[in-house]
Amino acid sequence: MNIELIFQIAGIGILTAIFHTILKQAGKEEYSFIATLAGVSIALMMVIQLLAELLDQVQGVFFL
Amino acid sequence: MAKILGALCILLGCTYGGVKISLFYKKRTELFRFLQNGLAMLETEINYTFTPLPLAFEKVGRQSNRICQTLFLQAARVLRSNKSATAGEAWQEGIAALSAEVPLTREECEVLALFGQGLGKTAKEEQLKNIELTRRQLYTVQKNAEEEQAKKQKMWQYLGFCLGAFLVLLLI
Repeated sequence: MNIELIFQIAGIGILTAIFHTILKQAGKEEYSFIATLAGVSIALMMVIQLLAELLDQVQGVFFL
Repeated sequence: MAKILGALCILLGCTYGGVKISLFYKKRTELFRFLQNGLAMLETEINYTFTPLPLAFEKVGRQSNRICQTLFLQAARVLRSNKSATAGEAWQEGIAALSAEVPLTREECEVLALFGQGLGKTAKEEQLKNIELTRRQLYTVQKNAEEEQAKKQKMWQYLGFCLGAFLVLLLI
């Protein structure tokens, strides 16, 4: 488990929050929603790979 | 080392792009302000010195700011080179040349085009009225552009930098 990925996901979270705030201040609510959605889905894609690894390991432990 | 250099390049590039876009808004506000000045000069040329339109356009174009110079100089060039062109057509060409340099909305183009339609067709008094009307409309347009600038200039600057940081984070 590398710590870099956690920082990367945290950074994406922070930047997504900034995007949301900036776009909302400029009066573009619909774009701010899309930006947030994109940030969340990118972070999710990163997490899903790790989850798949975890699932494999669990399967391995119980000889499934 | 190469990684850091690449990250820096991406960050700088995106920031530059954001600043470049944000400068467009500043340019638009300035354009409308200088266009009003240009029309005031044209009014003087028509009212007091009775200068023919091609010459008046050229004079105003030379004296006015670089941003709105294109409009007047292009119109003057068309009027000089194409003898059968009306003042309205020449003005239209000028607008086309201007909108290639500065992005204009349809509404702003229409305000300018409306001015061109009455140009050079009627007596002096009507011309002056037309100029006054257009100047007032341009003032409203300028106020709108200023509002838009206040809203969007900062947004694009921050957005460019944030986009760069986002890309760097994804690629690192």
